Amino acid sequence: MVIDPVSVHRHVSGTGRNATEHLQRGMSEVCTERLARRLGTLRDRVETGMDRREFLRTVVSGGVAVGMAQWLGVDDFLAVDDGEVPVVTALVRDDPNDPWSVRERTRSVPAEWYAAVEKAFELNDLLARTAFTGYLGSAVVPGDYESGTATVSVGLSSDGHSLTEMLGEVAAGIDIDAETIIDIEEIQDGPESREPTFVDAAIDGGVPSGVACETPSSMATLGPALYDPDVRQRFFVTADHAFGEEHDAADDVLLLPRAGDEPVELGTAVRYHPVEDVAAVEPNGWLEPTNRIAAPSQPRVRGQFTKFGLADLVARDEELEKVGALSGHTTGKIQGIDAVTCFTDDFCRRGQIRWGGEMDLTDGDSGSVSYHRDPDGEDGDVLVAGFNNARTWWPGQSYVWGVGAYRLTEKHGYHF
Amino acid sequence: MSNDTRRSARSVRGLVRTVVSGILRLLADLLAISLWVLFLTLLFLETAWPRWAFYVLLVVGVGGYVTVTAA
Repeated sequence: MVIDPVSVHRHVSGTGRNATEHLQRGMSEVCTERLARRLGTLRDRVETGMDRREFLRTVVSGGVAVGMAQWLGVDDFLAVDDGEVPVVTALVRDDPNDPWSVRERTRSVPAEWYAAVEKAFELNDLLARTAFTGYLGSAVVPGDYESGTATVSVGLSSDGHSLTEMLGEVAAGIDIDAETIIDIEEIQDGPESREPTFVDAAIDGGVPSGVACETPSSMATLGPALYDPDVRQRFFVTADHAFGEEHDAADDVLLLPRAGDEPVELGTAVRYHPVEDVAAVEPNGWLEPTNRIAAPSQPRVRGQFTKFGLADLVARDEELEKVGALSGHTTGKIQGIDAVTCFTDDFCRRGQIRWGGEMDLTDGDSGSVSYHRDPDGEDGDVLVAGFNNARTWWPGQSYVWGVGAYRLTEKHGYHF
Repeated sequence: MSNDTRRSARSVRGLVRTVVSGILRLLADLLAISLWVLFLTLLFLETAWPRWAFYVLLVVGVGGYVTVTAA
């Protein structure tokens, strides 16, 4: 069971309206009588000495509340001046052919928007670290630049009744809808009726992203070349779960099936990152990973978006694209960034991107990357947003999700 | 003698009960206030309402909570 955050917000605004209407009606009709009665009780309380205790409690609680608000840093976003601040939006190669020439790209954004989004990231992090009973996950949804706002969308399980009750107690009158998750599916099941895209038999030197690859246990999509700047090495990359639960580096060979020819060996998996759901495969044959994507327009990966780069895409209402071996090329809107998902495993996955709809991904598309055109690059240059490894849907929510490229860089140093 | 012991035992138990209920009440207050602050913060992040409205709602909410729970 999940509480749909959208409807929580809807009810919040609804309550506000009702309260105003109620107030106006009360003033015009029965106000004097009630007021007199209220004043009467208030006087009674003052006489019995109850009020002093209440007064003290209000002052202390109010102090705690204000102190807590300060600790959370609400002034950071409530008291921001107009103006612009620079943020790093992407890591991009200076020279498209030199993967080690990575440079930060910045962009000026409204200070108000920046403060709201930064605070939303902080609160999201706080929620994930607290991980209270009933917490299923959360995501940050930046507003557009004019609004200067950001939303934290929280998924709650109604199995943890305590939280719903607590919320009900605190925000009495706000109706919270509890809805049921219909299904959660990770891309691990058998193949569908669709035919996977195989790479052409004649591969001239490099393998593009978006074609089918085979592990000993299943089929997945090959990602674009992943670089580790520490050891100056390039890797083939795909979803970690494609290698199954048991990892055996000696046997975990990644094969490349070819259209009308024998499959070739790409290499063996050398690094597993189950939390990020990424496995790096060291090339051991004559084939090298490339930064091409097997889409009709033959995009070239030139770098990756940072967390704020993704926030900027959401603010400008831009879409992401992906090429999967089974579902092919699809596009979709970003639904949330820096997301936390705790409903598939006994640990939480952080730094996820939620985008598109569950129809944008199918079994065998895991390991594909989501990308977006590089606004300042040459024609056909794209920047990677993150991996696509799973999909989720329940009433009101349907999206593809996977780890953001920035998270992979933060945790393990890789870049595209 | 035995009467005294019983009485003091009862008063100790009463004291423990008062202290425990006081602590529980304090914790409940703290939890409610935390949730209220968090809720308002998220709401204001989403709406870009002015700062004074945040503090007014914060204090009014706390006042309302105290009034409701004192009854």
